[in-house]
Amino acid sequence: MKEYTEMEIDALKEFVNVGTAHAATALSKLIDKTVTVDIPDLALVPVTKVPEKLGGAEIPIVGLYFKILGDITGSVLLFFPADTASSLTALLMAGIKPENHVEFEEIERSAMMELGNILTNSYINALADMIDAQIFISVPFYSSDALGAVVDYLLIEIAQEVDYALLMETEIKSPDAKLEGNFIIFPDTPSLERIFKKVGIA
Amino acid sequence: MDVISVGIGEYIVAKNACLLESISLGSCVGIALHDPVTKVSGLAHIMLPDSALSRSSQAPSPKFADVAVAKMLEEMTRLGAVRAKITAKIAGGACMFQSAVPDPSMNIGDRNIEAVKKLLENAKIFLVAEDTGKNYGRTIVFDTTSGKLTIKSAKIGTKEI
Repeated sequence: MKEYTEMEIDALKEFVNVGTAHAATALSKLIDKTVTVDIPDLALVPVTKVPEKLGGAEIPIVGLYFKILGDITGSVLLFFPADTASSLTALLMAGIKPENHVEFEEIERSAMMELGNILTNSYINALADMIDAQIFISVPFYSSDALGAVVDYLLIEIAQEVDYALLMETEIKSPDAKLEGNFIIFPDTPSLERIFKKVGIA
Repeated sequence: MDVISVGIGEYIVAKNACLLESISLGSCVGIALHDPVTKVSGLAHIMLPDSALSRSSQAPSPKFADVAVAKMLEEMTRLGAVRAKITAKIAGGACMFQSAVPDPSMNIGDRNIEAVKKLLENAKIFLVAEDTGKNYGRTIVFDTTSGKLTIKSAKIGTKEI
């Protein structure tokens, strides 16, 4: 299991913070509400403990998954608690009132995928500018289910290589609108080394 | 009855009456093994099909289906189970994500189910019942006394196999 120095952790925090700030700005413009970013939470977590660390395997969420390609490879998961997802679709499609715990209709699903696209592009573009790299994202992959069931695909990908995940999680919040969401980025190991090199600590 | 949680990539073997539970399986597969005579049972929550695919140099982990089944069989027989009596039920292996452009690499659930079935066949363990595939998460509870596997999902409700 790899140990990370304090300097490396700080660099990664700064890295994801810049990305999340851009995504928060994009969300703020879309919904016309103040959106704030929490201090990134970085932790080396055993893969088996990730669902617990993210709030519990059973909580209902809407997750948007993207593959990252280019100079940095890996994946990004953006997820919202189910009630936040309902509020977001309501804000995005004024006039249509979604009900909690009811499966999102096709149009709402599309709206969430498009929202994910916009936010994740802001996030990834900011990271790419910061380290002067070319990074692209795949089309969005959508899932609405219990957190454990949504994140296990990611954990399976990580578990092929290692038993610990460097969890880089940032939370965005809009206290006015009672919204919250989480960005998690999982660069693969060679990409992490590349990030360290680009920020001058490798 | 005691409820014992089986985390992702883990397995538990039990001799006494209890409920073995795995919460929110997505593409992962739950493998429940049961000897109806001695009631010795086990539940594994596997993530990947085969340890031969491992890119890690560490000891074989029960996150792989082959390792989990081998370890459960070994421990169950040590606890008195009769190898030839052991049967299996499986659940999970969903494809959790959908997209405008389908990507076959997202179907790890299918590959997991296929691998687990082949594994059971090779080990001559009879697959009694399954609730696999589709696109939703499942919480499973395995009753070691009756061998019943209860599957709960937010979308479909509760069923028993």
